[in-house]
Amino acid sequence: MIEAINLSKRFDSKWVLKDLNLKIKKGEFYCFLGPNGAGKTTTLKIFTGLIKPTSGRALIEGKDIFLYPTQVKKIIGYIPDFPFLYEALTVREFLEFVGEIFDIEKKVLNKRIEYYLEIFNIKDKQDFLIKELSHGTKQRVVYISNFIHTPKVLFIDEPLVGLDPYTINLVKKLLKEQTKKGVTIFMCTHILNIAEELADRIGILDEGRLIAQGNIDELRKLVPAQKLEEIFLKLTEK
Amino acid sequence: MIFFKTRFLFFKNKLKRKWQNNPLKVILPFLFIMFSIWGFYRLCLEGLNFLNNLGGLGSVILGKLFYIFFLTVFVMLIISSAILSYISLFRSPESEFFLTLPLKYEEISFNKYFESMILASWAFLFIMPPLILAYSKTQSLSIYVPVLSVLYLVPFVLISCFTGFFLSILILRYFNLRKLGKILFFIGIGVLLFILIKVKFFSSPSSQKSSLFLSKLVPYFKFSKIPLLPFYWTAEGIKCLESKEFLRACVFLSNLWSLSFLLLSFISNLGKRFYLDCFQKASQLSYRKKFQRSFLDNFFDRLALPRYFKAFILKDIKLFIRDPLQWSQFLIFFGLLFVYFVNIREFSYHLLGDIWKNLIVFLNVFSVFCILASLGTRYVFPQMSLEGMNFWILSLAPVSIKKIFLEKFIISFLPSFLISFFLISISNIMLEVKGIKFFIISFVVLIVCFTIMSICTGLGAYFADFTKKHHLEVVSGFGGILTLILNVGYLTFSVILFAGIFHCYLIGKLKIDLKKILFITFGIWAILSILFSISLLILGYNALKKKEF
Repeated sequence: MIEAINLSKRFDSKWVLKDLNLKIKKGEFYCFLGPNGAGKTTTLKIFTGLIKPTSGRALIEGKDIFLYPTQVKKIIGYIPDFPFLYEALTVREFLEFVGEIFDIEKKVLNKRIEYYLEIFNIKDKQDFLIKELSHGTKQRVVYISNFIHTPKVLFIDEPLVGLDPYTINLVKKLLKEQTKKGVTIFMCTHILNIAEELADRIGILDEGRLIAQGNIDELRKLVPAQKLEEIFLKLTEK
Repeated sequence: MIFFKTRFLFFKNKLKRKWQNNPLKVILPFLFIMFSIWGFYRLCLEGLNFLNNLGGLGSVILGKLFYIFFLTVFVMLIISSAILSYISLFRSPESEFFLTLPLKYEEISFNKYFESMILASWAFLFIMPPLILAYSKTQSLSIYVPVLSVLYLVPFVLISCFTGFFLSILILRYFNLRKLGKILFFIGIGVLLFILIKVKFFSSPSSQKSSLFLSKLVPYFKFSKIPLLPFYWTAEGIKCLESKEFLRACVFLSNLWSLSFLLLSFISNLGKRFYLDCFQKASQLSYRKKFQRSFLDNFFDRLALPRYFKAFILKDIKLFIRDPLQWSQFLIFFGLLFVYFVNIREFSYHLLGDIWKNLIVFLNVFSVFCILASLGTRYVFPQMSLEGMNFWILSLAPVSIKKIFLEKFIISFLPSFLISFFLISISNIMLEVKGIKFFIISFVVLIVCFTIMSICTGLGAYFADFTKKHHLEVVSGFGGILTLILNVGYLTFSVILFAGIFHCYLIGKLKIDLKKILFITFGIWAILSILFSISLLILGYNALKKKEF
């Protein structure tokens, strides 16, 4: 479903991503871990079409995002850590805007909006301007805006920033449900227990290179440690 | 259409919320805009009537001015739309958001072109109708001329803004912006030196006579009549309507519209071919190499100032220098005034009669103050709000809010005074202003700068809103508009007060001794201005103390 072939990115003379090769299957929950500046967000930005790679290819469902940008973007969703939202639109107006961009039929769109507003417990805030919402509520709006167009692949950067325990629990449940429905999730995070709890496979990136990859048992075989935190620290220590 | 619908919703929601919060926030700006349009209309009418009444030469100049106006607007629209296109296409978070959506690059480009066109031309659309109405009135034209001229103005704006849009893509795609910036800086210095040498700074071409001035100017107007360029088609088309040459008017109209459609059809191709590459290049521009310890750091290290004060000043100066949008506007506005002031003698203004010279002296002062007021409102007023989420750093620092507040005031007052004083002194020297007039004007500059910066800093602190992230968001609020109105009102009053005294003296209507009345007026005015400034600073400071971060 997601494939990186020798993916590299250079800013000026610095390589922030070097020869990344990975394959993620349909319905898989893949977690990308790495210290700050390891190249996680750059990878996400390449897969979402925001940054062109210096070399290599980024494929989603077999299609290169830079050769077929519109087709690929129709089937992906992106949840950045600090997302862009139109502050002067109401929650409902923003969700309708996204729905129209994804060309969702009006009736279906309204049903989905109603459903997710209910699920995320913000139905009473649908007529609030986005600028009047707290950071956590804004994050919920971003999740809804991604769920309403039923993406096949979901890219998430730091998924739980600013969320309360109730919403964290809800998001974890919803993401797991999405993978059961066949949605592939590619997530970058620093919260190791979330990765341990949710991910089918974990990739560890350091200084732009993928230094380890596999499920938690496979990683334990690489480094003799029990907890993911210990494995991560041993793999990335200088 | 979805983009336009979204923009309309923004506007509707903002207006609705403002109206619900306080109807005055809608009514006051609306009245201010209407009053400004009316004021501009009156100004144009008076100016055009004056030229019309001059007779032969006046009518010739009036005709030429019409073409020059369109040429100037054409150039201004190109520059502003180039800057705005660059920001909205490549630097706005919205573009990044669009790129993650299933939108074609051509759709994004098209939408952004219209967005930057509206942003670049809205002010022009406010000044155009009053000017054309005033022109029609002075020429006693039928009402259909100003109405039909709209048909010429729309494609004129489309073409000018496309040129700016195209330039922004072209420059970003094919030039290294960092190198280009440095090259332009050195070219600027070269041009400055050339001007200083060429105009024989501080020397006076005494052979020229003021009566020849206007007639000597006429041949220079030729450049506004280049028949292959759209500003000429617009001006000439409207002129043809005026002279009832309808067939010719239609030719220019069809020229304008066909070129507009042709250029609009290029936008998709430009977007498709270049948008993503340019976006990459623009994003990489912000990926900077680490900054070295600068000349500024070393310079401030040597100054005997409190450490906290040096740290705050350095931070503000660095943020200013690293934001080209800020300093480029200062450079453009004050640079243009500088070029104009050093060229005053080329226009022989210093040879005019005393009454005219007095008018020009105070008009120059007025223009510097106007720019100061607008830049103050644009940048000084929002500086407290823009500390935004970072304000916790300042408020947790072991430095009182009072000191932070004073630093903000000093860093805005000192440079504004030095620049204004420098520019106005050049103007005064070139116009051969001497003695008491030079002295009074210099002190007027000091007090006006102090007051304008007090208004901006005081009200900026009073209306500080730490949730705002951009200058425009802060300035477009009620506080910003109130600041602008107070600034414009205050500086207009001050300039008219002193210009009026000198004018009355020159026309012999002043019964009392000039020095006496000047010192009394200046004394009272200065005391009132300082009291007003201090009250606003105290008001702002007290409000800031009570703010919760």
